[in-house]
Amino acid sequence: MGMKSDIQLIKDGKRLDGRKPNELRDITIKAGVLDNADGSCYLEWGGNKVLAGVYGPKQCLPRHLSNPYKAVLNYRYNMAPFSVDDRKRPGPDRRSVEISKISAEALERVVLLEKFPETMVDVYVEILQAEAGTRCAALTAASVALADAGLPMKDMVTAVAAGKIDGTVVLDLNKAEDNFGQADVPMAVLQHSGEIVLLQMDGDLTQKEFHQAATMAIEASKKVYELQKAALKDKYKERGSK
Amino acid sequence: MREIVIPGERISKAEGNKAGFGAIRRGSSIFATIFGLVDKAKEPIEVVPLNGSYVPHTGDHVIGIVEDARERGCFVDINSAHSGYLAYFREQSFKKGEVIMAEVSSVNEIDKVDLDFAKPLYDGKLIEVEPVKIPRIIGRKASMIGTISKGTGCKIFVGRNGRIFIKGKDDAIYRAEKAIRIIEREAHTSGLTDKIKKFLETGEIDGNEK
Amino acid sequence: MSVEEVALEVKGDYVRQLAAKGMRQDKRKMDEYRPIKVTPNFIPHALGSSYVELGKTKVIAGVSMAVGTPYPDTPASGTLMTGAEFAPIASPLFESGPPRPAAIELARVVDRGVRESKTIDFDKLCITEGEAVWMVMLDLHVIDYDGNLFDSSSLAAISALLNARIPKYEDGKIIREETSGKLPVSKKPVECTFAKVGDVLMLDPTLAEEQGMDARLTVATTEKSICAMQKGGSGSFSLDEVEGLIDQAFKKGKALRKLL
Repeated sequence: MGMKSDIQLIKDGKRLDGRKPNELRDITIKAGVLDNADGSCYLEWGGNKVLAGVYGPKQCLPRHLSNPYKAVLNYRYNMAPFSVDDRKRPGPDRRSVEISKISAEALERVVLLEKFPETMVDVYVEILQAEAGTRCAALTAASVALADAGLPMKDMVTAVAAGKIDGTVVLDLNKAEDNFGQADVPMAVLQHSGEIVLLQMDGDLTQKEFHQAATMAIEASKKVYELQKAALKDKYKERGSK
Repeated sequence: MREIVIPGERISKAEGNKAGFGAIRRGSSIFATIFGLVDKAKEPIEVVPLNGSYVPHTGDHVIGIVEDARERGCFVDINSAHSGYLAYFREQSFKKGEVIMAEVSSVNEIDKVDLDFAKPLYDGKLIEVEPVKIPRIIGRKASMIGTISKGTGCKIFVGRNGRIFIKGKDDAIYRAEKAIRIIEREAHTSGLTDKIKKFLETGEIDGNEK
Repeated sequence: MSVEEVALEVKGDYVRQLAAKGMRQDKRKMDEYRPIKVTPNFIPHALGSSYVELGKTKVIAGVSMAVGTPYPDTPASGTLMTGAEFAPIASPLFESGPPRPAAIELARVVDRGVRESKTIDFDKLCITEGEAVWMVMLDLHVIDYDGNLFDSSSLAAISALLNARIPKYEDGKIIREETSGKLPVSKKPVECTFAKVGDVLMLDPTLAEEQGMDARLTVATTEKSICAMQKGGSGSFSLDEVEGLIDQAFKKGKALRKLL
């Protein structure tokens, strides 16, 4: 955020990649792509390529971490070394740990964990190629993987970011916009209740601008939700006739 | 008419319906909580899962692997979130790693299971399938599994927990497993019985193979 | 022992039973590979990449590059470093955490296959002798595990190196968007892994077959020579067995090379 540059990120309502302010990048979602994981999802979002896998509910180990009232949900956001220009050293860095924490918290609101006391659910998201907005892509994919695994949830979680570039509030920042822009607001919402389960912001926004950004993101999340739904329903249709 | 639903999707707006497995009532509507199939005309409205771990019920026959043998009983992995416990009957005793068929005698409020009537399974192949597909693999009045058993000459033990133990000649085991995998993959389609019969007779599978 | 490991042991027993009768679970011949699919340039933003499916095993290889100082004894040569991650998404047997010995072994064996065959022309990676050279970093990311990570990873590694490009380097800065040429790759070493189950030797073990095996031998070959070997597991091989497997590795290696 906030790197200096002379590039104009938005001109006459058109962004560098040709998008309008409230336009999402291209997204494709596929459910059930891995053999071992109980549920999985491969998602491409602009230049992002993410792979989510879920194991569970299963025995919670180590036992002292288990909860007698509900399942423990673990979320591990991990970037492959080749996912970014400057090779990322393997292993959790502070940024990944933070993203993992807030993503787990988002999902805890949604997965009916009380149905599985003393167990754990592991959610793994591998970022294979990163191009800004990975945490939203990851959480969106994780939600599909959880549904694919058969875990009961209140609703699907759909995550979209909005931000500000050159004084204009825009949806779904790409890499250049993230680097040279003025604000970034990743959000995750539940479609039917409108609850916001993940929210971060960095940069510079007035209250009015934030309202614009949030409204834009929530509106766009409906489109992403339809793609999540289609991915799950298509998996079912793919196998055999009908 | 069965429809696929995903978690959070609204199934019905009618006030009178009751929410069964995989569904929840919120206000005046019923929503799905799992990814599955729902028949909106049925009462109570329940969602049949398309995937998911084994949910134990009393009376289920399950196939387990002994994971921890103790003095008076053993803990058995039953492919569920929790292990089951089998209290030994008289001189009974099992070793770690043994495969057994047992009955679920009780399930507690967090789905921990007690097992009874255990007998060992040996000289065969253990395979794992998605637990939600077991009913289809068994078939109505065990017709489907009976067809596979007769068509291959294998003795097949089916556990509700997604485990199947097949005994027979090696080639027969291979064909039986293949037939089971076809059902697992295409459980939701019609014409499956004929497809399986054809496969067992000719070894051919039409439609998509892998 | 975890619950998954106990179940795996049962499957390993069945593999041993079948092997004693000269058979494999999936009806493959003893010298047959599972279906293999290679997708080069799977991660287009990376400098080089490839995605390999070997049966259900799935591995992604990615190539990154940076500029650094050369080793003092080879002042005009670029360098290679290989890493492997057994991502926990790949199997209930993998846990998060630092690389386990098996991951380190995998990285080093794949590395040896590439290095000892002199696949990369390191002299062409020199920018300024004694000061700046290109450092190639090859990362293997396992995303689904059903046995034989060696062959799948080495295939992905070579495929990734074959489509890798070197960024432009100007005035002490890396200009990633521009290219100064392809990574100089002159050979295609491939690895073939065999499992010994009882007295039976089989190519390309699945996870269950790895569980039932007593020992394993991986042989890396180029068209003409052996460039690396690694024996694993606590069993043993006779010299005759080893030489027989090397023979097979050359034959099977040829077929693998065609996929690149």
